[in-house]
Amino acid sequence: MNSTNRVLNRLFILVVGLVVFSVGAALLLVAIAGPVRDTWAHSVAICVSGVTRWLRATPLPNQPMPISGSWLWLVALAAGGALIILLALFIIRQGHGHTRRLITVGGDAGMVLVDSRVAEHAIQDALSGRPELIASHVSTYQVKHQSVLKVAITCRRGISPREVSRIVTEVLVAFDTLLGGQLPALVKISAGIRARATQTARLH
Amino acid sequence: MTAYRSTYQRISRREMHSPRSVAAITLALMTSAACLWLMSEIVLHLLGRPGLLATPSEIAHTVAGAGAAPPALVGVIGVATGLIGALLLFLAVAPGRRSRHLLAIERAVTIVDSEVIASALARDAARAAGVAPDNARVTVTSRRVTVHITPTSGTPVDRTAALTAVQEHLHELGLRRVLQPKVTVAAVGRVGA
Repeated sequence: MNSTNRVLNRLFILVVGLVVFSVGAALLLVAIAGPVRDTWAHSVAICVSGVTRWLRATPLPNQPMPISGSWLWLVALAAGGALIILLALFIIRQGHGHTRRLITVGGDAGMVLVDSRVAEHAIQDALSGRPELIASHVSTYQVKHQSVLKVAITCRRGISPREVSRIVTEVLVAFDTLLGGQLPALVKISAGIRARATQTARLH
Repeated sequence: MTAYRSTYQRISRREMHSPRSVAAITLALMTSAACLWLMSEIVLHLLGRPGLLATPSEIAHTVAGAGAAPPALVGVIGVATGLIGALLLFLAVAPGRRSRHLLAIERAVTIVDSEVIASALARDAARAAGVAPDNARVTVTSRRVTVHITPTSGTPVDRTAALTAVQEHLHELGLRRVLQPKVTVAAVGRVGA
């Protein structure tokens, strides 16, 4: 329902997984195969001497600050900082997708904007009187440039989900009539933690 | 449903599968922490101060020394790292189906937790089998419903009645994916249940 980029999530996990797996496989090979151990020692030595040469060849110019070494370190710091910023953006980007605009009806004479809270309050009020439901929460999301209502229901133990769905559909249809149009909706029926602590409802 | 077919398809698909947000956020945080550590070591190195855990050259020497270190130690670390990597690859590729079911409803995408279906079925099965509600336990997976009934000692359990009740209830529910019901009765009963 929210606008989390799931492909990006999976790609990120895939890339990190590949790196971690390759490191593990390389270490295992180093441990069990003699020729690999020699190649490892040889190639790492070449890398270290290469990097050392670069670091020696790129000294920082003389300056009053008490730092010394290669300016390549500063490049590495900048790259690390950029990576951290990217990862932070990636984390912040998770979730989201709520909207406060339910519908917009426009014409030459003017525009009518209906706030999401109209639907949220109306539906939640209608559902709160029902004894079969422990709790209900209504929110509005933007999916494919369209406002979608999400009705999350926590119901009592032993209640048929069909019955819960009938109650919610009734309320949704009543709201359609009030609004004068139909909005797509998601109804999510769960048991929740409170349901487990509540006694089985006796409905006959 | 017809008016919003593609919207409804997108919503159902996304609600039935895990977004993998927890794993992705955890990995991002750990990668950032590793990055921050390496950056602090670089800054300390530039200032000519001793490192927090190891200076950049010490890190390079540790990596280079992997071949000379005891093979058992390197092997164990390698296997552990490889397993973590394999787990991550699995998380990235597996569908991550959630334990939920779709109801065939026109007006709204209706998604029910398997737990809710199970407790509703347990109530009906217990009543049909003639046992106390606590003695019918139901597990709902993505394709199957299994009812485990513990009989009251000395009283036979009407297994067919329980199966019929569950079948009827499932039919009434109208799930988009049909579940196969099965009833098992425990060999040992319980006294006073």
